[in-house]
Amino acid sequence: MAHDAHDHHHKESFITKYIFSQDHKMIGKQYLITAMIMGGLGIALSAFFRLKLGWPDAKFPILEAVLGADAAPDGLLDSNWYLGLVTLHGTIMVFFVLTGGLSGTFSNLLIPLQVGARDMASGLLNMIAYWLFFLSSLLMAASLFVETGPAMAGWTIYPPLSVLEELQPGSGMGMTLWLLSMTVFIASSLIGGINYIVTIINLRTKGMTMTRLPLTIWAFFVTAILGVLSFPVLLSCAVLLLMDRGFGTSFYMSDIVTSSGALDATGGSPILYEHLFWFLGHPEVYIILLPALGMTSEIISTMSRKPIFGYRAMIGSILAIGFLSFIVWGHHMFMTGMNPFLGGVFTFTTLLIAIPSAVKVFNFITTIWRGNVIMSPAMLFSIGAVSTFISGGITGIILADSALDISQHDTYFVVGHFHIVMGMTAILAMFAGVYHWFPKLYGKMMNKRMGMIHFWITIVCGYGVFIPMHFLGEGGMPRRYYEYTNFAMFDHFLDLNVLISIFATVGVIAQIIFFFNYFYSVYRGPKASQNPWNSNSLEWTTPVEHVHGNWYGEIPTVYRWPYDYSKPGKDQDFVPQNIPLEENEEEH
Amino acid sequence: MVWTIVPAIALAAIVIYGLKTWNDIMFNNDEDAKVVEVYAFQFGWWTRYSGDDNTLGKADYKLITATNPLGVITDKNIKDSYAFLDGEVDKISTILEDSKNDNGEYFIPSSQVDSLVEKMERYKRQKYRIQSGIDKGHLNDSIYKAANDDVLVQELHLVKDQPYAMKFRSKDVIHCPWIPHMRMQMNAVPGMETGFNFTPTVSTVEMRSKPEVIEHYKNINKIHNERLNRLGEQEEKVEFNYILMCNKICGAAHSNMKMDVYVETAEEFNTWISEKKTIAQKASQ
Repeated sequence: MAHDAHDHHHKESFITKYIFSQDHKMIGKQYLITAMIMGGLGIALSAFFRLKLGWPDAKFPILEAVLGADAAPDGLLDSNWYLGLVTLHGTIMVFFVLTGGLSGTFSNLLIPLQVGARDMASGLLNMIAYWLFFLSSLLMAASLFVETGPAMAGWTIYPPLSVLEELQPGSGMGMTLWLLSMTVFIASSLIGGINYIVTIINLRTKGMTMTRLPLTIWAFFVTAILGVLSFPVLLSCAVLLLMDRGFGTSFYMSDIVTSSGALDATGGSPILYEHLFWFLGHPEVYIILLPALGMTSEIISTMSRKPIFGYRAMIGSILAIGFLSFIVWGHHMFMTGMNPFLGGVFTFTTLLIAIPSAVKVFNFITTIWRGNVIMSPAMLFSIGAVSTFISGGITGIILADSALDISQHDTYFVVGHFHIVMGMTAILAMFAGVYHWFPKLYGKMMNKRMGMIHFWITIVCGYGVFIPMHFLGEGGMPRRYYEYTNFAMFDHFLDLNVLISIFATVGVIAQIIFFFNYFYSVYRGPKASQNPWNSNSLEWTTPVEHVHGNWYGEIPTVYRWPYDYSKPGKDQDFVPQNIPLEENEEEH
Repeated sequence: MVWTIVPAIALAAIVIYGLKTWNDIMFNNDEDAKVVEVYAFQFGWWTRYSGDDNTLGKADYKLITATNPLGVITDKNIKDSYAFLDGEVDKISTILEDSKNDNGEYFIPSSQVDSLVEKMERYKRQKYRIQSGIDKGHLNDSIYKAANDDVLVQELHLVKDQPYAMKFRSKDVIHCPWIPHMRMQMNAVPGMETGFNFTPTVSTVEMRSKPEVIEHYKNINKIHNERLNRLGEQEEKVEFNYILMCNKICGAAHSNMKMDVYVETAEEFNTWISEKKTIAQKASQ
């Protein structure tokens, strides 16, 4: 590598340093801040519709003040807008926070630092990927300001509902913006993903073999491959939808009668859309989960002062999950009218994925087992993520079984399940990542006490919101219901819904603690030492202040794996990767 | 080891039993099963009973009119569609004629003209497609005779212990008929027919007389009327009812799509259905 060029710093203006930066650390921060803003928006939307669900008859002037008189006349949420909020909440959280935000931030920050590279393979592409992500965030947020409202067909935007404006007002301009935003987003993910893959394959430092990579890198690597293979399918899916909407094709439409009479469209099928969508949609779950679990592995090992249990098994399970995630998409479609024969097939493949997932969970637990555990906020959040991964995974077995799914499909049981297993696991791991790598991001420490308070409120409220939802689902309550009080049989859930809404509101408001802690620590936090967690991986060998090219002088050479914690015969309970093996020392 | 084997066995049992149940529900070719269609639209349901021949008459979306909400094919319905489509075409051409000034130029915006012409062309195409694809002239009555004894209603009555082969279709978007008490659901997809096999085993009356249901509904009545009082509305008595609702997001009134379901004895059902007019009876009126 021609690192000499990096040694003498070229002068950077404000714009090249903070805005159109090509430095991976700055881009990581840009991703994180964008995701935090989008995340704030996403959870605020959920708090708004939770108000409606918790108190179906009450009027909330705040809704009218914030959303406008169209969306909430007299403070009573409009039913179309209710679906709009649900849709945007889902889209923003899944794509902009947990995909763009999570992998965007931490792949960018950690890949070059942990593999020992000066920067990403292409700094320019990296910058472009971020700005496309930013543009797509703007487009998505802009759809809230369209007169007919944002996309309202649910985050899965099944046609024909998402095609014809006369069936739903949100399928006009709002849906166009949604599709446009997603198209830009996909471009961003693909550019980012290819960059991550190339960097990991080509720019590892001397001695950094694939089996000496931290598990975070393995997770980011497989995630990027999943994204590169599955996002193009979503793109084609969206393009066909755009054509159905704008050019009179009928890929997804057939035999439809609307208020303007029978349409010409014939021969298409919404099931085709569902297949294409979920062919991305399921790998997407692991695009979210794998980085989360990768970071959790790293933090748990560091904070337990123990080598990760079953390093190779962990890599194997990441690869197995990556592969299996491509052949299980049909479990989202048991009840859609696809050939029922496939129900049996997808039940089988889906349950197979329980095996590598269980391997990961056991390895997390055995790593913590008898470790010298340091309860930092990052560790708490990591344990929380493992906990939600287990409790959400168990209900996953029920949903994976096509016969059992009949009574749970599209009810609140599903909502509870995926919010715990995917939403909470990923968001807790993302918080863990922020608390853990904050010293690397800003050279400052975050406030530990505020972190602890943030954790306990978040996890209690999270479980408080989503566990009761399983009961609603068992009681038969369908998701995306604006007015469940139309059914007297759901009346006895009124109280439970109040409870859920209280937890949700408290949980959302509590995130202010995190935001405050974050920005307070950026400016006022105590200065961090170079290796505050006594960690082994390479990112802690870089100087505290950010330099272009990451290391002054040579990039360190790697001699060992990153999990030499509490190795017998050593003075310290950690041995960084750049310390050469002593004579007669075995590698693991 | 125990920790591996026990979950493995438990999981295998769930899978095998689950697959067996799944196949029973999805691939049941029970001759005795009664065929009933539930038809979904924004925002409500129709039920079509297949009558004595236990065969649903063919249907086509192009025939859907105000008097033929499911597009069932009969000779009369085909004629009615022609009349409807011709009428619409006439109406539009009259509007177009009236929108011309003395020089034969339109004084309404050209975009409006375009959309009217497009609509008219679509109606003409629709008529042509019916003529070429559906209308078999004098053979209509014999080809489409299965429709004659079909009965259209907007509630669902089922006979206790009678196996049913439900068929689902949709008019506009994806809906999902869902009877939570019976754990029955399947999407209704425009452009295709889906199905679900099941047998109701507890009648509505039996459910209402179960002590736990009585207790539960005492509670529900209390909560329900507390809410009505709060809203200043008339109190009402809530009884247990099976309900069919929509379980797939379908638009603004998604949560309003409900249809009452009654499970009763064969005699009760026969009395009820005998009062309903079949499609042929309605046509001959």
